[in-house]
Amino acid sequence: MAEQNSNAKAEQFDSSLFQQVEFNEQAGERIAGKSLNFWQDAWMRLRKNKAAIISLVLIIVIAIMSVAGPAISGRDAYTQTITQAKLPPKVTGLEWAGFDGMATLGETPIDFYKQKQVKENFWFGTDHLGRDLWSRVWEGTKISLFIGLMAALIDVLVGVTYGGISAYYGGRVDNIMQRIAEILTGVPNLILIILFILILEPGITTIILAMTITGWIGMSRLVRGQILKLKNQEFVLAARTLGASSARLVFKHLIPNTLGTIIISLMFTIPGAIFFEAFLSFIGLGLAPPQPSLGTLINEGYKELKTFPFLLVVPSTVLVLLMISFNMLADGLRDAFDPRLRR
Amino acid sequence: MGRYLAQRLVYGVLTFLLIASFTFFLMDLLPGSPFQNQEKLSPEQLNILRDKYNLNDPLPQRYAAYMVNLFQGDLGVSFKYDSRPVTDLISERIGPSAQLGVQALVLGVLLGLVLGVVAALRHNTVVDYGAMFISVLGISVPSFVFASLLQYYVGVKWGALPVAFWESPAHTILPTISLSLGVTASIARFVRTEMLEVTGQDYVTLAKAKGLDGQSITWKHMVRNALIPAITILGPMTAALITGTFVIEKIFAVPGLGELFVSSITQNDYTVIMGTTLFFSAIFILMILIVDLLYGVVDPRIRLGGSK
Repeated sequence: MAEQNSNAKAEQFDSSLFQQVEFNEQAGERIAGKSLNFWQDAWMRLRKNKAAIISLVLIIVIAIMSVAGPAISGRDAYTQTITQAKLPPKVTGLEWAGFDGMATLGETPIDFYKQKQVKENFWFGTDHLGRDLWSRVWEGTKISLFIGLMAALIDVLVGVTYGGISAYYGGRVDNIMQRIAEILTGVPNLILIILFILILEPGITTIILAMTITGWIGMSRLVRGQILKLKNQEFVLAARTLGASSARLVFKHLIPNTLGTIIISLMFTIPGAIFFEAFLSFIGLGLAPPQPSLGTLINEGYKELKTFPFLLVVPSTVLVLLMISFNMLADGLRDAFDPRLRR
Repeated sequence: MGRYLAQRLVYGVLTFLLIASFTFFLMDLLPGSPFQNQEKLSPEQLNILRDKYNLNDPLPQRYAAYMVNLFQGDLGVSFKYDSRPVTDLISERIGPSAQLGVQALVLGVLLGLVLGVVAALRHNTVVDYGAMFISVLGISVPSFVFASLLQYYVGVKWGALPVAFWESPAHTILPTISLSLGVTASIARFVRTEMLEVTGQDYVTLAKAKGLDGQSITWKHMVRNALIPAITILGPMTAALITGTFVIEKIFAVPGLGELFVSSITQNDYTVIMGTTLFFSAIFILMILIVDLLYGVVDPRIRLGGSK
């Protein structure tokens, strides 16, 4: 009854009063948000991660200090002044925080600056040869960062090439290349690294080379997995149909799509390499003196631990800060590049 | 399964032989000499010494001899320790290292498990952030830095525990804690991730729907399933533990294999370097094999060596 009633009412209106709404396909396709590329998208997400941003800032500050640090104190990292040996850290205004130039020998704390009649302050103190620890720590940081960065970059270069070729060509090539990699993973890399360092001259290049000998395998695995997944997807097929060459497919389509994975792995490799250098230096296989690295400084500090703990604590603090920052930033980047993995 | 096992064993042996040959030729390239005070020795004396250890034979002949001996379980004699067989040196030092490794592994796994489970259950709370901060710290602080500080503050300054050597159970506490730090951290991270993964699974919802209490769901359904993938990190974990023993044993003067390896390097004791290298490699290869096999047994969804 009610239905009929309303129908009757509707007929009272003239249909010319109404206008049909046309469906506008153009308007429906309009994208309201700003279009973001890969980097902007990742940066937007990374920015929200406070820990990662703090880490990034810390890494930048440490990197700047590693270059500018020795200049700030105005002292050379290598000049030995025996009359100023083994001075504890002293900073005017920070005496309450332990930077008071005092060290405990036996029972009583002694002001080493008074005893050795040194007027100037050494912010981080000096080592057993009277070298300024402030300058040495930053110089060492620079060398450690360089080793970490170079080792990681070489790993990426070799790993991406190897994994890329292996996955792209597939079949027998892939089979042989993977068997080789499989045998190499069975080798405990630390022992291989130590043996290599024993044969070659100890130095920065040797350490970097030794670390990259097996270091690239992990990267090549990741890249291979990604490319195997990507290479049969439609956009690759389309590019192939349009006549793109193998090189173009690999470098323009496949590798850019694995970039996120590569960068995340790179960020985890850097602290790994820095740690390894420190480890090798600690067991006496690192850089030859007088060249400082965080590892050799920690090793020297360990020998004096009982009387001058600052020699160990200062370089250790820088090393730990660097490691934490890189690990946190890598975590943040992983979430930013691949939100599916976010926890 | 049988075919897969055979294939893996062949690969393992192949890898081992490759390492053995590689190490042997590397040793030959090593600069320096295993004999102390070489400058004071006359050429004749040196020649006699070299003859004694067959160092004057041509390389291929020495290589063949070494490989033949290796198959008979003979790793040669040490240059340093009064010509004692390397196998003896290894077997008398394996005890402390094994004890240290197992203690650190047990402590690290238990602690890491608790941290990881608690962090996942209290996801995105202060507890979670705290646990994860501890874990990041554990991954970022090198074990030798942690060990040195522990030794100084707990051993020297506080005097609560022995500073070094390997005599009583109390002596093992500091080295064990130092070595377990990395294990705790990586297990905690791993377990947390896996627990969060498992939380959303249907069988957990079902268990909840059937009225199971929280404890049973957590321990019987979630932790068990979350732990399966944790087996995969046992391989890298072994490698990390071996790496760790090198420095920890040096710091705490533990008479173990890691200490033997590091000191043989500084002394150019070729045969001991080779022997320990091969021993560590064998353990590592075996561990990777066990992990792969175990993974297939524990999780039947993974078909080993089957058609892809």
